[in-house]
Amino acid sequence: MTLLLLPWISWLAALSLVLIPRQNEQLLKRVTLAACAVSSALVLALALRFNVQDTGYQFVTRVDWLPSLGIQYSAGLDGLSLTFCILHAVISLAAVFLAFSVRDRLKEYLVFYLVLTGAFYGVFTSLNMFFLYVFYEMTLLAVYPMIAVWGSGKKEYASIQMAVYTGLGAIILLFGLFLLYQEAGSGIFDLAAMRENPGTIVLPAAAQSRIVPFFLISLGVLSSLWPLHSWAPTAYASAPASTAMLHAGVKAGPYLLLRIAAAFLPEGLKAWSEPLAVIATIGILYAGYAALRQKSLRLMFGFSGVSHLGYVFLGIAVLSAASISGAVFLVFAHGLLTAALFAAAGILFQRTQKEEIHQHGGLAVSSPFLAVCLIAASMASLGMPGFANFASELLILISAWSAYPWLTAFAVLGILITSLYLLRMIQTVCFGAALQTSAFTNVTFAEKFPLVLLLGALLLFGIWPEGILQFIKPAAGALLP
Amino acid sequence: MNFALMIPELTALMVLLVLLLGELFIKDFSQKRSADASTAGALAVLGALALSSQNQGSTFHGTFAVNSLSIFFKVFFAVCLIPVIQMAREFFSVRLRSPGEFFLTLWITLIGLFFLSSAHDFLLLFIALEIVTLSFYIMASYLKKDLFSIEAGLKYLILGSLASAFMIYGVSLLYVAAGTTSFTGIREVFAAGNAPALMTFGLLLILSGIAFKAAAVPFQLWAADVYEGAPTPVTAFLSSGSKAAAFLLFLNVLYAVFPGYDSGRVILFSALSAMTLIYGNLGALAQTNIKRLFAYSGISHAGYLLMGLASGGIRGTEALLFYLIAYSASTLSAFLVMTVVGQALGSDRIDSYRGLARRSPFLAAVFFVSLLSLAGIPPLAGFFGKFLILLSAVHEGHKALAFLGCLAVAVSLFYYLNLVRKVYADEPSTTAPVLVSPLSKLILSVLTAFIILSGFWQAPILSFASYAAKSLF
Repeated sequence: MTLLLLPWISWLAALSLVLIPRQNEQLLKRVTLAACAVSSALVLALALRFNVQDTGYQFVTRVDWLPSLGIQYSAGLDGLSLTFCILHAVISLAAVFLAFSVRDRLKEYLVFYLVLTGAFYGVFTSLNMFFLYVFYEMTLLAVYPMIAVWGSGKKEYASIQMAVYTGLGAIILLFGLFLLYQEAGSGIFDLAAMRENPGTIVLPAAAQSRIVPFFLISLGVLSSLWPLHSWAPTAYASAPASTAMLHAGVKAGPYLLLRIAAAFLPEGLKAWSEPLAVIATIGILYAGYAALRQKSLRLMFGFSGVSHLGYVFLGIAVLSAASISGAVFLVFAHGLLTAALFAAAGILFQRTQKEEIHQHGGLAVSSPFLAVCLIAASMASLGMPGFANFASELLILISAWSAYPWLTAFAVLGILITSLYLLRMIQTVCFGAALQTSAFTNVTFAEKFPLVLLLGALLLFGIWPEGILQFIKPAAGALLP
Repeated sequence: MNFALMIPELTALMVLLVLLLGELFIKDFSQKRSADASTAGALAVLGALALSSQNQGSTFHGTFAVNSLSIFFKVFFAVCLIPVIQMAREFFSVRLRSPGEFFLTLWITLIGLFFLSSAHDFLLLFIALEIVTLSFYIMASYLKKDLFSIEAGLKYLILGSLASAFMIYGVSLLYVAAGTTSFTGIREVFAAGNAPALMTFGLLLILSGIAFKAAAVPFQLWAADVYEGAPTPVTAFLSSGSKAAAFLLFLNVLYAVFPGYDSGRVILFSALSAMTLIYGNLGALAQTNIKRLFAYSGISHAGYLLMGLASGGIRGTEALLFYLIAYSASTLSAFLVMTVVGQALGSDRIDSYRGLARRSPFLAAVFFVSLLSLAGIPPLAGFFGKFLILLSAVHEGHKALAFLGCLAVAVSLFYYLNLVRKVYADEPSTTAPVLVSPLSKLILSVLTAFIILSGFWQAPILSFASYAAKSLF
């Protein structure tokens, strides 16, 4: 029963927030923090009890929901979903501290924050495609107002663009699921049953390659793959720090692609893998170049995220156990990193109200702590050994080399571009003349803790990649038929 | 004559009588008590429906039949009436001295709708439909001094008469071909294959008359002007009760009378659905008046309901009925908010909704939920309705139509979220709070809870829908 309740911890907390008067901010914050901490602790407990030898779903709970449609309300974890749960547990616990810094209408923001947190847990624990989809699209319900109301800059444009793009992506995903449902017959909504009886869903290769484009396009939009990415940098640049951390850090798109397309439409995915690899590589270079050209700090991080997502899709396109392990590991590592970058950028923006890189300077003098964090995160991003990103990107590039040597060569170039824009940014923001010393006199615990937590996790799994790869590897192996 | 079958109708008549007598004999009745009496009456009718749900069968020589479908729709209409009464109470608290006749007309509409649900003879069907339509003419132009309201009533009257003329012409053709107006008689003659051309022509005329009520493209011309000009409670009842009545008639005519018209139905309703979806969604993008926006959004929702008819079968019908409930709950909740806001602000412009969240967080939150439900965002009721409709369309092989329905969802997100943005993100011109009466608050809370709950726990509503759909197949 525990696993079904995991998202409900956040949702019930959200419901109780509605009943708390808005003047009582202390209580609102306490309830929110408690919900996030309890959920994260529960994920940790599940990870400790998880049996890595078993490649099936564990902690499975099922409730009959709509038997006539083959819909069950069910939850379970395998290595893949556990990895994403851990990622979300870390980021949601880190981001909640920055969510508290929202000044205006804190109550509503925290309600949406908890709805979003619970929805992501729902996505990663659902065993039924119907609920998987419901929880996934629920994230939109929360993210749109979070950006439109509490964002900054061009928030109205950014939020409606994000909503229409991701709404369209989600509904195409639903259409893809319907096609799968129709081709394969009923019962298709249950992921675990499908894996246990692989015979129930063997589609002819032609049918598979007809359905796969719907998944690639929709999940490409949802995870901001070039050329479907244009909503993401603007949305994350306008979003409040905690929203950007959650939505950019916890990438559910690759999860859904692996969970559904790689697992049940392998032939179709194989047929489309070459174009996908090409698109992923172009994305790495294009978004890297775009990041290079950005003046705004958060837009640059946004494009950097799009660029790194290219590696993830390159890893998926190679379709080997090692490359998929690398891709999942990279989503994990890059998620932590993106969250750390947006946390740092959010703190900078909140304290200075300056958006552009050249408006900052001398952070190393004015706030050594933030400067160290920014430098550490940048080093991780450009693949310095010791951080988890290095290990994961290496895994992808090595396994991609045998399949697409030319593309891999170009992809490596992306790392070079990353170091260009990040080092330039560090040079300006951290060193150079100190511009706003007074703005950083008292960096609070609520600002330090998220960065320490995220970078600490990044460092931990960089030094000890087995800690997370022990979950990913068997799952990635089991995913491919 | 089995009057036990007519207990709900008789109860409604009693309520009408009580209202009429109260109007006559009690001082200040229409101002102070008629809304309360109407609400109590609606609850009494619901009680009568619950108690008499076991009495099924037909009476008056088969012209009046009670089956699970008619019970479903009667419950639906009676439940819809409660928020509409509350809207009328709010609406007329300022604008008119005496809303008494309005409530009387509302109850006549309900009785018409009840007879419409049970009509198994085209003659009774036509009479019931005319009772409903005539009372809507009156209610639409109820604001005697408001030019828009009069225009709305007149437009509805002229175009509605045309639709009625189509319909009665169709009925007369069927009578010529079959020698009877009863559902079973016509069904037998059509199944036997006598005079198919005449009968099909008659059927098409009847269907176009119904399509007018459903505001399906190309029969939608009246909708935007009438929705805008009519008093808000009437607009709300038009977009829930009247639309539902149209789909009730579609279901009865297509499945209970002409089940053999299968291939024609698929082509006809696929085309209607596609046109309605495109027109409604594109039209909604450009609106600046909130009631016009809801007129176009109502048209686009009719597109999804028509898709349920194109898919057909028990699955399509279940989906349609679920969608109808989800859509009406969301629409009524939105219209109640619009009534309260319209009273407080004296304007129906979309721009006057700016910053509503600062003036009334409660209204804003309720509006947010109902708009997102209309846009089809899970876990709200509207999403599951769309899910069922699209699933049944794909299941029946109408993939292109389902894909169009998917794209329309993305377009509709734009105008619904635009409204959400105005409510939440924009700054209000004044921060004076918008007050909500306790009863409105209660009804809005119940509707919102229903929208959220039935989106997540779909089984009760879905089983009610399949209970109703069973009587047709």
